[in-house]
Amino acid sequence: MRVSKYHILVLLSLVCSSCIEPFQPVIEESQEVLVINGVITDRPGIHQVTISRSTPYNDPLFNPVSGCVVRVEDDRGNIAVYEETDLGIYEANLNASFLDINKSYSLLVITLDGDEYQSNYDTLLACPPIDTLYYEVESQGTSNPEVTYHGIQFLSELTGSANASMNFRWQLVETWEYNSAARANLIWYGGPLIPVLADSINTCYMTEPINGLYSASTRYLSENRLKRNKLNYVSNETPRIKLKYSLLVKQQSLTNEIYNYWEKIKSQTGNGGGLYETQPSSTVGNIFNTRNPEEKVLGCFYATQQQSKRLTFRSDFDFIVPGFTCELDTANSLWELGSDFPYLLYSLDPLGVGPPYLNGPRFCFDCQLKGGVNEKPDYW
Amino acid sequence: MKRSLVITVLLIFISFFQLEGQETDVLFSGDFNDVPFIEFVEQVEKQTGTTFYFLNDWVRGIRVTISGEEISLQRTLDRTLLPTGITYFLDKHQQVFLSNKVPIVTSLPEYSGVNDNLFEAMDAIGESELTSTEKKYIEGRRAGMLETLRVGSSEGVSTLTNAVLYGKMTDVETGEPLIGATIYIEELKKGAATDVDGRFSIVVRPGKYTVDFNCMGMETKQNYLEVLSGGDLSISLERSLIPITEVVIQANRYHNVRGTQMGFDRLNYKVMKDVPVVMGEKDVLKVIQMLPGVQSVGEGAGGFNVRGSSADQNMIYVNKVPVYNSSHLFGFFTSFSPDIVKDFTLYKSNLPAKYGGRLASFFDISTRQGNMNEYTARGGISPVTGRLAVEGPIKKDKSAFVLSARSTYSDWILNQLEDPDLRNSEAGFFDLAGALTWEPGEKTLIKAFAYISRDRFTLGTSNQYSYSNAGASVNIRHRFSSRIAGDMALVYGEYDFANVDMKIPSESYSHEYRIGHYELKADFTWLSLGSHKLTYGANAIFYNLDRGTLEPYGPYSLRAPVELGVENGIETAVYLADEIVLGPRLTAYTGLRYAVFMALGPEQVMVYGQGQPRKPGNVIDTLFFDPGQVIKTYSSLEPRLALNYMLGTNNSLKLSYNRMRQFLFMLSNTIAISPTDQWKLCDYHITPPYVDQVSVGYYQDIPRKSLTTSLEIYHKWVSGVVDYRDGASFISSPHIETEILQGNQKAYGVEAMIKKSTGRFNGWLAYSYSRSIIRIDSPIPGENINEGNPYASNYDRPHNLSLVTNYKMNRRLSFSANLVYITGRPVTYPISIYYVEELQFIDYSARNSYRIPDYFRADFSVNLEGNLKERKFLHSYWMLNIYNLTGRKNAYSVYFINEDGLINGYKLSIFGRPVVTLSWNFKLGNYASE
Repeated sequence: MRVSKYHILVLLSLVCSSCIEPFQPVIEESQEVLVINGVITDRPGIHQVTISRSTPYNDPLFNPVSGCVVRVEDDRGNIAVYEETDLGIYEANLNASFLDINKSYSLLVITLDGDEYQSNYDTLLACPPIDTLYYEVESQGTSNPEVTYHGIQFLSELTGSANASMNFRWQLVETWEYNSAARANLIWYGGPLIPVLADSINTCYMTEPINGLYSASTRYLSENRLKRNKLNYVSNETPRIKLKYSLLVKQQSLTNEIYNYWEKIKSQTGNGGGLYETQPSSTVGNIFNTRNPEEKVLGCFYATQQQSKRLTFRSDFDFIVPGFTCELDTANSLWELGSDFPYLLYSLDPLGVGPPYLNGPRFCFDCQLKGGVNEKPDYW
Repeated sequence: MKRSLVITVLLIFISFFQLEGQETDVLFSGDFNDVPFIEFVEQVEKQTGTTFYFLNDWVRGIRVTISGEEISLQRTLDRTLLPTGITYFLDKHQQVFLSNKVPIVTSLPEYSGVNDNLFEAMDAIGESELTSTEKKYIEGRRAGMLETLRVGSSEGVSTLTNAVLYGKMTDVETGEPLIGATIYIEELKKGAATDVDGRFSIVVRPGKYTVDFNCMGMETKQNYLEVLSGGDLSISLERSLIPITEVVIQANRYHNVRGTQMGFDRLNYKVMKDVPVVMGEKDVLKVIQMLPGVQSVGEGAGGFNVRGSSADQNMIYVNKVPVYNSSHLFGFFTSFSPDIVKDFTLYKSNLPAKYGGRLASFFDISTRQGNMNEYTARGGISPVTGRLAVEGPIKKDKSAFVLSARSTYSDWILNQLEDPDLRNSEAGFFDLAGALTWEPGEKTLIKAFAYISRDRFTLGTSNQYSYSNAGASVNIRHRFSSRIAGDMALVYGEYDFANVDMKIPSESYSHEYRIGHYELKADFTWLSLGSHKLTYGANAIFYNLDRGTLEPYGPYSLRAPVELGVENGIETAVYLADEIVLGPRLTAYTGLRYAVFMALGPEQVMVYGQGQPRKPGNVIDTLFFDPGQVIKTYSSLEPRLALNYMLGTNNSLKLSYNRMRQFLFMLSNTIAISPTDQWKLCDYHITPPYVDQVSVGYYQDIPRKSLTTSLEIYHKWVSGVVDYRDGASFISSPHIETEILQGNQKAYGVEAMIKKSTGRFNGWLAYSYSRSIIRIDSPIPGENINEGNPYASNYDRPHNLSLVTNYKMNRRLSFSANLVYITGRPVTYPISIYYVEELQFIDYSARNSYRIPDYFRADFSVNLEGNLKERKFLHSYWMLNIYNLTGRKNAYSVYFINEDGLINGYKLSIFGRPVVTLSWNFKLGNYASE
């Protein structure tokens, strides 16, 4: 049985200043195992299957497999053919007649070498909608007793009928508004100073998928309901919740087979690594070589109904969320700056044009250089 | 070269001149094996130039067995001749004069008027007519002469019938029995060791012998022994006053070479003081992990692994009470106080037939029985615990008690930790034990023992654990006749745990578990003819398990309750064993144990389709069993064989074969034992695993250097070893068979050990090479682990070297040091990375095909004893321990986590730098007090 993580093991290590340190094992072997992934949802549109091979532990990269024949078959004999749109990425535009609840789907892949791989049929189960999506303010301690993070914990709840899916997986996408560390009102390309429109580089929106596996099951519960299902936690360690934040939750229904697959993946990558953890092993999904079922094939193919819910809110918390900061210099003349054009500047002159100028790296002034876009999303 | 010149007058004459006579000695070398005395004399005369004077008639029938180099002639003659009634005198001209019946007096008595008594006609006076006072006088005055103990009476006893000598060896000061003390009769090369109550028995022919009484920490006693008929030979030994000889290891040399037991280590509580430990907490289980063939999966892991076996294959008995969880604080400490431990024995090769029910080892711990003469107390304070033990007589020399208590105050440690969850955690444990001994008469001994240990641990706000062991035993030993002794015990043991898991609000649950063990056992020893020692007995254990119910916990939990069910079982066994002396060099132990296990109802058993995996979907029938109805019966016929062939006086070759079967096991799919691991009985589907073990060993003692050495090779085959399907859960269903797979295990290895047990500098060096490979396969697809290929078990750590040393500078100051090297534990490593939805995922290697880095540790400790005043109320000593002196960051585990989409590897080390602790211990009385 699992006792929570490695905490217990660190129990008496008070005298140990750095008990946990990075470790790079020496791995002599490497296998190029075929990895096939694909999802069928009930929504018509572009569906994707990716085919790649695993790469050595010490040298990871996406290693696509091209030139495969990819087909998805439903349990009534209909077939959808996928086309390779990018290296290792195969897509098909599926229409509504092909996609339906309680239908089962199987994926067939034939590689250039003529090896044939097929997935087990996976049933597209009805997924109950997300009842509520909310957050609670929560503090988390850190290894430094002096430092505590404040933040918000997202939670969701659902109620499903008895014949709906009892296994769920959530995919999360977050969007957050942020300001550049400093405002600029001028841009200098080496010639005359040009005024900049502050909004175009000062306020940005970052949209990113949240890297984490969230799944739960009601199989062992007395009813098909989830309460206080924990999703992600956002702390004031980053400026994410300084201004405005939006979380998109995609709730997917899973069959038992696929849920077990994701649970196993989850337990093996979020493992604390103590002696109270179970043995890791290769996580094989539901895809097999039709002629050689012993061959290891990674990844899985599954069908799901997806329910989405978005929660967008403006920050109003009792705790302080720091924004981005920058060290700026003061230049009394443009000639002190150099030739790495363009320069974003803020004139300290009361008139807003002349020297002295505040200047610094461009990302201090231009929020787009942090990865976001300056275009406001439509749901904002 | 036979001289036939003996004149009493000459002897008298010499006696006036050679006052320093017996101080001369001659050394010789050679290998004499049951050689006639005359032949021996020829050899020695040739070698040393000594001349012997005697009559052939006197020495007829006397044979000599001795081997070695630089052997003392005096000592050899003492042993060979004196018991036969022949005395001798060795002068400084290397002349040896033998005298039959008449003692040679080489110096004048120290008081006057004695001469008249000394020279009595040898024919006229039989030895029995000599008054004991006279005898004592004559012999007692002679240098090197020993007191004679006489057992039995001469009336109507034929010298042809065997006599049974039995008795008790005690500490002259406290009256406490001496455990593992030995009695050894040199002429017969026969010995016996005392049991946990200090009792021994031995069969000899009436006659005259030289007898040695030996016990660690006690003065060795040598006596002449005159056996007229069977009887009591109880003896008290004095504590050896020079602490330098307070040896580390009690396993005595007679056992090492002469006993049939292999893979056997008996240690005394004192060794705990001499082995540096972490946090200053003396610990029995940490000491045995320094012995060859004993390991653990990691620092602070509960339990131990013997010869490549899982931890649930060890039986730990404390005064016959089974301990189902030997860990305090998840394994950092042991669940019974070191203060109450007197002596512990680990059997790992061949087991006496009276032990059964576990595959790997029996760890038998005896507690103190209480000082029969005076009240005393001991205790100590370390950074983690405080402990106290009190003992004393209830009625002097008749009955005594011991009480011990230990408790921790470890919360403050948790508060120092970096991890926020741990900082807000609470942990605590305590243990209590008490023992009573009552000796109503010479023939009967009654002992009672009770014990409880409890642990609790609250991890932040997410988990709560608590567990406890409890047990009690009543033990009656009775000597029915001079030949038959019995030992009857009534035993109760219990282990339970409770935990609350609140990590996921919807799935929060609480769970309580309990196993009860009720045992009745009787063991008998029957000394029959001289060459046989029969032991026989029976036991019955009733197991009662309540695996508990998972109940929803907290306001948000929607968890459906799961009843894991109740299990009952009865394990009964009978055994018969005989230790037979087949010749002067060959001893055999043959035993047979027959055990039967019955799984009892009430129970609901699922029947699965033939050739189909045991999964809920494949149930074809359900069987219902009434309370008490037999669900399934398993039996086990277990031969236990051991042979000891003495190659010489100090070396032997041993061979053993054993079969054992185990009827319950621990549900644990984690690497170390966790406090929520449940014991489970074998049932309708799960067959009890069994082991066949063969061991061969060579044992050599070097008595002059007080070294004992051993080399053992073993091979074990285990059938039905249990392992778990990937992702097994033991709390989701009562039908454990759906989570379990059974297969075969092979373990083999070599163990070598060299011990020095006396002197200022003592300790041991142990090395073992061992492997442990499991294979779980089945014709049914998917019913395998690691694709049906063999894999190294979690406790397969081939090279293991431990060095334990202790140096006593003087009586007050001693230093101890340890060195430990062990190959890293097998681990499953990530071998490749792949991407799903742009996240990195890991693909793992075959199970356990890599190893975490090797383990190395050096420890050091200093013991400073209080002053040596004889009259003092309290004696104390300080112990400074430095654990992991080199501060090596040994990998406890290596793991990989997905951080923001990237896989990173980490190494976790516990005690990754020197851990310095100071502890204070005390006892009432002076330095030498027990």
